[in-house]
Amino acid sequence: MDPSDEVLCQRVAERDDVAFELLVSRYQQRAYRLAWSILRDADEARDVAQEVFIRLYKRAGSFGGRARFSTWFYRLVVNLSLDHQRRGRWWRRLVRDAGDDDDQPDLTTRLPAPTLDPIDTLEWERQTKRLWAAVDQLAPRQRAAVLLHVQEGLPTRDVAAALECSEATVRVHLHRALNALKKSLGKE
Amino acid sequence: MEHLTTDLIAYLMDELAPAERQRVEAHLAGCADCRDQRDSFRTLLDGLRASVPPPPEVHWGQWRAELRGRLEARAPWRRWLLRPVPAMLVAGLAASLIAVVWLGQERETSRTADRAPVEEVVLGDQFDFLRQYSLLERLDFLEDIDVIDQLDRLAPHGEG
Repeated sequence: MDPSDEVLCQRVAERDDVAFELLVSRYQQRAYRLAWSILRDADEARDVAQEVFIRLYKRAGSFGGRARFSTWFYRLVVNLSLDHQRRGRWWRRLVRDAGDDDDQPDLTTRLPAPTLDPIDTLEWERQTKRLWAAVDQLAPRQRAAVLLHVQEGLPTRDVAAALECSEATVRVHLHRALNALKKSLGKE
Repeated sequence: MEHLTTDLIAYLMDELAPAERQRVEAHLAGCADCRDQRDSFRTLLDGLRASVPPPPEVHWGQWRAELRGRLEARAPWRRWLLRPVPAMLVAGLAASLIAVVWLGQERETSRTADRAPVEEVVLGDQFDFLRQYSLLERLDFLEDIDVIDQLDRLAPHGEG
């Protein structure tokens, strides 16, 4: 039987490199995916994902086992991604204004094509592109709350643990985020 | 009438207790604005869930090699200490420090001990006349002052 994430984390605290490799293989994609969703830059997301595991290796002893490992892990990813975003914001804005958006992926080309009328498909792609562009414009913690829920599938309790806030605060973030998206897409 | 806000979020995420869910549904039945809000939020959430964009591809083998390199690069001084020569140097330095401190304490103790015989000789010189009375050699003269006061009345005698 495979050891649980919590058991592996305890072993990492005892400097068990095999346990560390196992945790990395289980969570590397999640770390990169969430970091990329927050940062929208593949190179930065790769760096942040590595930094998450380095931080995990150093602080495995502080996990404590009081919560699920996954929520503690998501907290690391969110905090490091938001910190990274705050540090590089002015620089990123400068580069983005000066250059084109080649680094930004064309979201619609990556999405699975729905089996609909081509006109509906085009409209759907257009709406989806606008929707995710609007998500990118949300305030950092609102965006993190939306991503943790819709992308990672976390319930409010786990989103609250990852964002280190109350469940009520998470619902406030989501309510404000959805209102902002609705306004941005002109559905009011 | 107060509209639904965070309760609506909990309702859409199916996180309400049965009694609370009933209360929200009762409100929705009587409030068109909240029903519109519910429908808009539901469409947005469903649309987001159905269209999460996957990130760009990553070469995971290369990524993990980089991670290992970064981990090893982060604690060079700790790893340096674990090597044989530096470990012996550190152990030797620690042993030298301990020896210096211990020797220093020993010297201090011996100086204190040497003081006692000198004081006794000085005191003994001041009571030179006591050597002539074997009886007094057996007394604690600091406590039996009365005997000392009457020394002149004691006649010298043989050992007994």
